[in-house]
Amino acid sequence: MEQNRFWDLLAKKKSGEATPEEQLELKQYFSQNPALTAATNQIDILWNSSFKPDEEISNQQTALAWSNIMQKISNPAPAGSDTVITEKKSLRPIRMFYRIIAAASILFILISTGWFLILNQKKEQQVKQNVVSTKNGSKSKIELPDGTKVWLNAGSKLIYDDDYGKESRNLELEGEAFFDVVHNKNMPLVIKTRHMNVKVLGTAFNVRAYPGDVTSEAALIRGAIEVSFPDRPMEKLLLKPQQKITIVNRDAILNNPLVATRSKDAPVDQESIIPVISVSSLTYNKKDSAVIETSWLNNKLIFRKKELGELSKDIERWFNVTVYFEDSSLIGKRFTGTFHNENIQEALVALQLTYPFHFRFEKNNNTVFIYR
Amino acid sequence: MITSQLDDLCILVAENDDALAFEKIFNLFYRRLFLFAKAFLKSRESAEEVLSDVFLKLWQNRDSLPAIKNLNYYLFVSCKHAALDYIEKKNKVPTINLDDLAVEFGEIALNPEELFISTELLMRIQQAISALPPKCKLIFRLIKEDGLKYREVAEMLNLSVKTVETQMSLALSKIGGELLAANVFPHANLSRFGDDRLEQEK
Repeated sequence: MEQNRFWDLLAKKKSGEATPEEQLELKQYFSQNPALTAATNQIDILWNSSFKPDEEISNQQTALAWSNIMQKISNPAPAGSDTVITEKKSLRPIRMFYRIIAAASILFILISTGWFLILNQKKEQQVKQNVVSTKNGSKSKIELPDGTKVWLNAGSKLIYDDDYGKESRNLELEGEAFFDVVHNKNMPLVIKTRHMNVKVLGTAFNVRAYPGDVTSEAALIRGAIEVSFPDRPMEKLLLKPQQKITIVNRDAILNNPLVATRSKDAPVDQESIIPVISVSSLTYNKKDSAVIETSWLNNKLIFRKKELGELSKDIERWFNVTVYFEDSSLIGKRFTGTFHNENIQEALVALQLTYPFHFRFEKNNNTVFIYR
Repeated sequence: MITSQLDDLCILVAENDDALAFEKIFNLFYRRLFLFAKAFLKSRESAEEVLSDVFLKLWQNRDSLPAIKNLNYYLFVSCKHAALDYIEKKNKVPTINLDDLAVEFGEIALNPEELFISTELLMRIQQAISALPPKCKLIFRLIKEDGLKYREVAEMLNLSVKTVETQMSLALSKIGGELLAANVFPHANLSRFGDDRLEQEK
């Protein structure tokens, strides 16, 4: 091998550019010239170490350079100055806010029962309210004046003003809905439910706030949403994609006969300890990796370890029935499953497989009685 | 150097305008790009300015950040363009001769003991590297330190791949030659490993 060829091959090998043939050639050459191997090892060590720059690029310098850039990003220079930066968007403080991203995704919004006024209190004149509601057993889709699309799940209500979209975009939600929000960075979409407010900064999320339910939830699929609470306006939570926030509606627990009450001596299982506010990840159904929180969009009701009391409310809305418990001991039993195309009787039979109970379905008034 | 983490950071920046993620990307690349720009501009302040412009533009175009397949290469090319533009504006010089560059190669971050060599030999290796022609040094650094491929370096500097190969081979021969010439391996036929290509280059 000619001398140049050796260095050529070695350089290629170190750079990862040597073909298998070239690597073989090099290997063969080493085996014929074992004296080279040790020197090559030294070259290996050299190659794998880095060179310190003559001028130390210290962490400080990098940090300084970064802060300069941060400044420029946050405060675009006015037009005409030396460094003309045509910013499409400006960066707001990292701490809390993200931009609204143009959405093509669908947002579900649950409308919570609120006799909440959308009206801006400062305005003198009465503004007409628009109410869209769905009955149990049905879903509907509407389009708001700004083009935002809303899918309402069963038993839900959406309220918006006549001047929605003019200076603000405020909505009231009772129940469950999914939104496809039209991008407008100057006018964030705000959804008020009884126990939490959701400011839309992103594109795809589900809000579930049925009145009387024990919990309210906002589940973020994509983008960003900021959740705040009517009684604690200073507290704000920013959700990242794949996160959901669950809030316990304290008064719902106290007044709700369908919440299982336990005697003092009964063992406490983990599921029954619900923190007041918790942020967790979206749940996926193991079988088909569907996101449970938005499975209703696909006409699937997926529930995991859900107490029958809470589940019965979903069943009422889903099948448009009324459920009565003749035996309260069944309220706290947990069920896991998926309803897709079953009718109410098929669904109840399926539930019986998990835990034995009896039911009676009165067809003429769509009522289900559950007993032991 | 380039990991799937980088892909995630790019998505965060593009979709969420995540400045923290952008800072992480910045920290990953800043040092090496700075040295690269400084090789062309020979001035710290100018290099800082060019780097600042490059990253600002990157932020402005962050929507398409995840679509850049090879961010490392992209940033080097951007810096090169920005540096040349800068030079053109300042000095009215449209092209630059690669041998005019001031390529810095700092100390080898190793102790002589780790290489089983003497301090003097390490120094000689350092000097050999520093003595490489600027073009060779630049290419060597781009490939060894900055992770570029032969093809990318050739494209970026408007050279042929063959030239890049030759320069790399040259660099290796200077380093390796020193090691061998130090009589570490007296039985090897060392005379075959001197390099006369340096003479041929001129």
